[in-house]
Amino acid sequence: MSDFLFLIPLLPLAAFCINIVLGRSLIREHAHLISIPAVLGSWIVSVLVLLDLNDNENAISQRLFTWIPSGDFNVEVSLYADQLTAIMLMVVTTVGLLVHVYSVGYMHGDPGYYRFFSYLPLFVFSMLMLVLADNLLVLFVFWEAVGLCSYFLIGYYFRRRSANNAAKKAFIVNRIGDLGFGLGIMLAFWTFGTISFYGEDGLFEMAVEHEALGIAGGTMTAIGILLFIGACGKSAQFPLHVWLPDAMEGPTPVSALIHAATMVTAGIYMTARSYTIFISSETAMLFVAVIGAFTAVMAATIALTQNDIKRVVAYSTVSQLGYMAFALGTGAWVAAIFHLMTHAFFKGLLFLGCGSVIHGMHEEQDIRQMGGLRAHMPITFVTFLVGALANAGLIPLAGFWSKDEIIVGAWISDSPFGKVASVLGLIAAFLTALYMFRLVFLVFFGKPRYDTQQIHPHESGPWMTWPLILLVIPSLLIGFIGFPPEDGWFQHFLHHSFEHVEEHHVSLTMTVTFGVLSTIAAAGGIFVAWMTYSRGAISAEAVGERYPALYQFLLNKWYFDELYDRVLVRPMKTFSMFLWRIVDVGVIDAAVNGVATGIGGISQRLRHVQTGLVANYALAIALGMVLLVGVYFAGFSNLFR
Amino acid sequence: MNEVTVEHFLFLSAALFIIGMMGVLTRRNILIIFMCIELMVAAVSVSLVAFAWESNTLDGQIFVLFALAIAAAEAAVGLGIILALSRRGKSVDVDQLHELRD
Repeated sequence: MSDFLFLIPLLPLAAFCINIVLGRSLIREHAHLISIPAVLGSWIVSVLVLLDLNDNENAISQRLFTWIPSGDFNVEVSLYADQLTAIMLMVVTTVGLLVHVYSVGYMHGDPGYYRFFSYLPLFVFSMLMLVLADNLLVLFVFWEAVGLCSYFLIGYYFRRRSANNAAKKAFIVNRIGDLGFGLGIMLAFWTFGTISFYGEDGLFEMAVEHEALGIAGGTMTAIGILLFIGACGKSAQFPLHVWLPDAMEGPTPVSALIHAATMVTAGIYMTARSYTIFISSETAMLFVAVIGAFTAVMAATIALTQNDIKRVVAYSTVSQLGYMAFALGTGAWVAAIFHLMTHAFFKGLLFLGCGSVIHGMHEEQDIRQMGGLRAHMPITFVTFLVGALANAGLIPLAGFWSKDEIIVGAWISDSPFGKVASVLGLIAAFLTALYMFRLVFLVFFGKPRYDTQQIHPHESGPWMTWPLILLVIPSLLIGFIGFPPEDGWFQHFLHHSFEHVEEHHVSLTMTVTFGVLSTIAAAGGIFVAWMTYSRGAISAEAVGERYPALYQFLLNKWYFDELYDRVLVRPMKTFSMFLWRIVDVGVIDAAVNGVATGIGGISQRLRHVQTGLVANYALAIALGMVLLVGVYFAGFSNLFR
Repeated sequence: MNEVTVEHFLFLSAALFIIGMMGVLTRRNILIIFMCIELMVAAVSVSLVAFAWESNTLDGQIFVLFALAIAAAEAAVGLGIILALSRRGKSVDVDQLHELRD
């Protein structure tokens, strides 16, 4: 099996190369015929890898080449697949494949069709390399590569200024996180003397043995926190979450693949991958848990008030990523990955559903201009409803099992923050159900609020509806691979990747209690949404008018953008203006230009000497000679002494 | 007193050289200037011969033979240029020849 591991990333890379070189001239509207089979091939090999790892616990690896041989610092590019990687491979290739198919319908007739179908496999390649990497440096390279693809695809409609700004914002905010990640890698190398992950000499085993190796606990904390700052950037955790909602400027399939299912989970994956570093430091774990729990609640409250269909789902993604982060921070590693996987499927489904709605409504994204679409787009409605139920965490859909496991895991953990995180998780679960069903009721139920004369909503074509239907299956059923809770196939499978985690036994009473609690939270949220947006028993406007400050606060996304603008962007701009106007123009340019003008001025004076008359030159020569000879006679010779 | 010493030759050389130089500086006709330059070369040759005569060696005299040969070649080139200039028309007045400046 290990001999074929390279095929997983190679196929999408080949598709990218073919489409980017020949796409413009030859392939054009057939670009998907290159990309889809490539990703399908990756998917098949990934399934084989998963089956292989299920039968046989040993991880498979394939060495490709030595990248940097430099004394003690030796970087090999190797592919390494253990159980955690296999889960990620399945998520990336499955959602990637369905998004590719969906894009055939969604991007049909777009002038940049081949470009889109070049970037998409490039992203899939980078993401697969990221999860297959077996050292920090290769992981970092592809971490940046997925960020680059994200930049390309957010700014895909490059003629729109807002898309360009969103792409730049995503890139720059990620750079801030990457600074932390980069420092974390350097500190890890400095501490452990290696950046390789596995084996006795790998940094994960060394992290477990850090006390025996004489590595201070504070160093472990620092490495953990620095790595998680990187994860905060990529996985849109507070305070670096601001780029993700803006990233919705990209085409909707991109939002589904990159900004919901795969790339944004890279931070969660990286943290889970380096779990031995985190379990060595309670402070780092606490840091992760607090950030995650805060993000989960904060993003959920913002999602309540947004009116752009994609932004609601985007804030929902931020909130669900917060769930995963606090699961990591409270030591519920398997639960975090479980939620990562279920979330990838149902959030991918929700985004593709959004795309179908936007497509059917002729590019309308404001939910205040929708309503009653149930009758016009039945397939989209049913699939979106399943996605929303799964996201809300209603039993027995996918989201319920994973979210419940996170909340239980936080409650029973040794973390001092565990119980608080658990309660915050329940609150966020209520809010999740509320905003999801606000969306469902406002979009699909009630009377149309758009101009029925002008707009005729229609169901999308089969290229778009089939991926939706196929994503319904995992959204409904994938939760059962983690059934019964704490003891399902999934937990046993992933156990090999988390060997050093202490086992917690959860009593049946506790499982049932929390199951009931989270069901109540979800059902309560759906009920409130129904009362408000369908029955009209509670008036959202009245609530908004009663608490205007709170409403404005949420509508303006906690004023994060404004705060960053005041505190960071504007001082930075002022400082840059100072550097430009005063230092660059006033000092550096002035010095350089001064030298040039000075020499120019002197030359202007001196050029009059060049008369072009031979007589003048001859006279100058003669006088010079007389002068030299005179000086010689007067000063150095004894002729006149 | 009647004896001819090296100083006599050197005064002759200096006189020839200054005559040549004054010619170069004061005349405008390029042909005259050229001839004056030749005069200056001859002056230098005289001083070389004088020193060789005084030190009783042949080196300087042979050197002058070479110098004369090269001066002849240079005169051919110089006269060729002057001929070309006069053929081009206009004048052979150096004050009129300043195309390279413009």
